[in-house]
Amino acid sequence: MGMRTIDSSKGKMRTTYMAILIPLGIAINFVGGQIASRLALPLFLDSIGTAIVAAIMGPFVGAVSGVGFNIISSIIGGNILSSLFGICNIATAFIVGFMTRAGKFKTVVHAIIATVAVALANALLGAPIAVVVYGGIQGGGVDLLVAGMLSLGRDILSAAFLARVPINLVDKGIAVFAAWLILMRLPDSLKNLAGGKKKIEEEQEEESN
Amino acid sequence: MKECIIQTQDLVHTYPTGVTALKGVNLSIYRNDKISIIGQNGSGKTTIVRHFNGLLKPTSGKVLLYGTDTTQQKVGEMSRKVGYVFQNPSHQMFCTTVKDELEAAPKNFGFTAQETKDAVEEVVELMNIKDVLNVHPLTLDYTTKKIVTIASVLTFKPDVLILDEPTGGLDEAGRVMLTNIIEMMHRNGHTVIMISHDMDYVAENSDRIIVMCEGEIIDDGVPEDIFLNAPVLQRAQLEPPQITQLDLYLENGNQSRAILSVKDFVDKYKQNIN
Repeated sequence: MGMRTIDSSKGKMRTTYMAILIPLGIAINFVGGQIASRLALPLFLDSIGTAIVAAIMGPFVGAVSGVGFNIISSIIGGNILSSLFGICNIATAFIVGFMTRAGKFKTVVHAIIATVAVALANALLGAPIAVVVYGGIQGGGVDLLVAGMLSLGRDILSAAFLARVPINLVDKGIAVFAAWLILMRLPDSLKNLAGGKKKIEEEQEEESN
Repeated sequence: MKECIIQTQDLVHTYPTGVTALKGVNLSIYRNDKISIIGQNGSGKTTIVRHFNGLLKPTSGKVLLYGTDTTQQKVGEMSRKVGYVFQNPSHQMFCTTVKDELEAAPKNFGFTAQETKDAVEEVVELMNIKDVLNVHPLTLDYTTKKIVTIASVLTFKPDVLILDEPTGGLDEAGRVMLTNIIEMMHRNGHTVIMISHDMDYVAENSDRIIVMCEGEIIDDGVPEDIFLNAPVLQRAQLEPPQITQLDLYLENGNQSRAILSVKDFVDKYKQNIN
């Protein structure tokens, strides 16, 4: 039986899925962010949608959803500079999306690796952005830790980074595992929209036709 | 004349959520003041003090620390001058032992190894926490955690000591220790600013009280006057200390200065009997 590789990400339905999932990702990010903000949780919860869209549709569509959320939320919040946090969402989308494409987002271990990578990337990128946009303090729950470190003499950049590492491990763990759980439960026909290659048996396909 | 060390000018602060916590506050704090800021939750107490060392930046208006705009100074430099003890000690503990915790601030502020050692030894002695030096701070009971966070700030002897709800969760021994520390700092010329809901404690341990309500200062004066100002207390939804209330009932509100402690109360009525 001969084998061939097909790219199932180029189906006619892809545009439809994009039209549904990009705004859905933005909405999930928005609701999560509002919950974290209103309850003053030491979490962000504003990248769950990004991770889900990236896992299903791939890194670039996930990034569009993430950046879209940051732009909309910066306009609503009246602080355009805060859209810079879209860079963090791009990192989240790229790590999750490219791991999915490479077939490395299938097991719990893969999800843990993705969580650590996404958390570190977000802490590294988020710290200088927070310093530029808010002077290190942005009003969220993470500020309590940043402020605590600053008050004991830590410089603002290292405080913003160190406070974000544990918080991002939990926060991005929630986002990545939500994406992983949803991806694992999708039917096979929808698992390759991210651009992953799938091997099928050509003869079997022909027989079924 | 006392030196003004912190000044706010038309200070407004609006959080990213859109809540305006301070609405044009003007305030001067002088060297060696022993101040309490009182008010209901959400009145702006914590928000205003977080401007004093630059943890928050004004949305509009100015905050001057030693005459210089806080937006022109580094938070690290301001934190060296204005020590801040958080309400929740867990938000100010990052090391794996109490000893490391106490050494963190002096090291961050550039103390030499010997200076750090001396500073830590001094506060360990002062706060009687030698037994817990090798314990993980987060495993301590709440009172000891509070004491450790106060100790960690005292290691660098800030000019201004801010205590956010210092009596919350403290047992009696902890309160006595706190009072001794406030007195020691005051005696040594430092400025102490306390945020508290504990009116009994505030009355006995402040020279000046600032009353806040809905992002504004609605009264500022000595405790003997503040706790007789019924309209202000009513607006701020605060009640005078119990001993003050007892004296108010007995005198039918005719006194000129509020009684603030049991000792004052006893002295006054002994005098009346004699």
